[in-house]
Amino acid sequence: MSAPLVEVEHLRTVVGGSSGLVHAVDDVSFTIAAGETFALLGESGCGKSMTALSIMRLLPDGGQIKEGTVRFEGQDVLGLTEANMRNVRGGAMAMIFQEPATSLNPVLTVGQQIGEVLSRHFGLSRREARQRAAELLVHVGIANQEHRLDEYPFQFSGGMNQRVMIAMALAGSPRLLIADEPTTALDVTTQAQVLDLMASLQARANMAMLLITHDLGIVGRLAHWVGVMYAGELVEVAPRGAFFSTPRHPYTRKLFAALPSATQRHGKLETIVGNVPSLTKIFTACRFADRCPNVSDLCRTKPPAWHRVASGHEVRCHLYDASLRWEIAQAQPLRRIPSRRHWWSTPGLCSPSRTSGCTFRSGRVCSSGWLAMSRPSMA
Amino acid sequence: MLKRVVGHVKAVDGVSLDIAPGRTLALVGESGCGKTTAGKAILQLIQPTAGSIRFRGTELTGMSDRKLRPLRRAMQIVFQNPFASLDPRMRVGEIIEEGVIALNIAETKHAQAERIGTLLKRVGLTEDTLGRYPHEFSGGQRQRIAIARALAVEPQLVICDEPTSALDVSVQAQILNLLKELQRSLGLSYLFITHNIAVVEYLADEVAVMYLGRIVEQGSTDEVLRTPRHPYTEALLAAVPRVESGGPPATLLSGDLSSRTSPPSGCPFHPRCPKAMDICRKTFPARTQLSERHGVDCHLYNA
Repeated sequence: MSAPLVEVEHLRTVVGGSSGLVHAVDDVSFTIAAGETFALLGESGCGKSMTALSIMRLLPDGGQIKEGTVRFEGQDVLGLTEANMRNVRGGAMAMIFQEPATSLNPVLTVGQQIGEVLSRHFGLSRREARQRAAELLVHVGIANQEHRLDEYPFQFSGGMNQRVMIAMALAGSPRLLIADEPTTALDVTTQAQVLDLMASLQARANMAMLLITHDLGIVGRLAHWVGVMYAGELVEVAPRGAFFSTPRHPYTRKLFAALPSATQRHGKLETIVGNVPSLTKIFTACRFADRCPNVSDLCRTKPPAWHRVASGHEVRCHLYDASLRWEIAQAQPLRRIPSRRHWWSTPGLCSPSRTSGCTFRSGRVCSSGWLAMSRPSMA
Repeated sequence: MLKRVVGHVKAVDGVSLDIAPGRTLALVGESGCGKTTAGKAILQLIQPTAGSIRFRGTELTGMSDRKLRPLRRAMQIVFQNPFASLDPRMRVGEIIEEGVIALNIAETKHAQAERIGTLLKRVGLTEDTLGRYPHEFSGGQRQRIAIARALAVEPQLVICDEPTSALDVSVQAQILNLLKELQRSLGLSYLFITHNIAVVEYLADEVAVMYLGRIVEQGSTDEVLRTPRHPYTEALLAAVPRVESGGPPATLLSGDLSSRTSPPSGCPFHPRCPKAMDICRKTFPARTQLSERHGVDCHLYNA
């Protein structure tokens, strides 16, 4: 991998809420290389959008970046003056939002909105801008472009509006595209079209993409790297393959198990007990401890550090701390994998259907990352 | 007041459905295809222009409001967005009781309080929620309140209009579990309106796929999802991003849903259909029955 295009280090963002300061983003670090997509996955309120807005420096009122650095092409974005930031924002760094209908200006034509970017960042004349805007519309798959340029957002469907948003973002020839839930407001068939479009545009322009989503399916289709966020912090970072074949963090595993599918028709879906903790307090232990099926005493007293489980695959969880493994093992009985879905079915995995071939030994992590606390009963 | 009629929309056209007691029928399709309108027509919240809706053998269309009232008790609805469907100025207790009072089925005060108590427990809420307001609850809890409101009058049919699409995955799982458990213990029938195929797989016994106001394919969940026959169903299933597979789908639909005011001639799907033939542009395909329950409206299968 070449030098990363974007480096986010120890980012800490707070938002002033009515019930005190909310620690929306807490010590988040990741990098994105050119041509790659990093997906930030998490449930609502976990801080993924705030991370994106911090990078763009578009935080809402009361939002403040407390600590950390964001380097973009080696340049410290957080240290730029607002005037300089304006040259970056919408130019080399662009963003698409969730609701195309509310993010476009309803009283300007599509051509004017795309043209605004072009004259701001490239100083194009009105005629040049119009011509370039028409090209961009063709690029994102909008036919009859000359006529469409003079139309207003309300004359477009949801999917078409999202294409217009993408065209606007592309107008500045960005090297980093941040997409915040780009298809959540769209139908599945339209979503498939837009995801496809984003992937092909990315490949063509060798753009880096930060994709924010709560949908595991979208992650599977677009991401090269996945970061899972929970309660303001990253808890797992992995390449896509490893993420889907061997998710490690108990929270990630729970997310997979909560997905409805035909194989679970006659059973109950896995749920996560309890609620996401309030982000107003300062955490002194693992944030997921109260909801975790693998919790031990240690989790309630000490915040977990990052542990590398494979190349590029890191988890913030005590379960993967080699030096502590025995301690946890003694405090906790073996837990079976809660689901029989096929992504768990990797060799050596101790699932009910595979116990016969299991080579678990107490205190060891098997190839799927599950920690054996004692020898499982051989059925 | 100025009114301008731009055109009439045939929101639902020639739809036939049936739901057996204790079963779940899923109605799937893209937004604007008419699935919600069909649901509302069943509840008589919209008067259908033509056709018949029978509930336990009683014809509902054309029935007077007064006669309809007692039947409303048996048919309830849970809406998509729990942030919009609960009155923010009413306490949870009032929200749940409202239907009971309006339909005049209240017993003694004591019996009613007891019933609401068990109902709350059933949907996983505590008794102290009664005095609180909707804004104090999370999305998942609000949807539980909405479900409690629907169940308060002891319905037999519940229309669930995208009840989990505004919720996070882990909360969605809780609500789906709850709906399934309630169906088992109370023998409810569900009409489940959704565009989430995974939810259909998990919950539904039968599926009807809608396109531009018409049902284009219908059958048992297994048949329709495992062996989809209509090109639209195939495309819809292929478009769903799945965690199992990476990469783009095999068939990608181009274009958008056609205009509702001037639908295309012939088969409404032909402008987007990868397998469109000449006949598709001219005549609407008749239903072909592939098995006892599995039917499809497509010229490809007309012998």
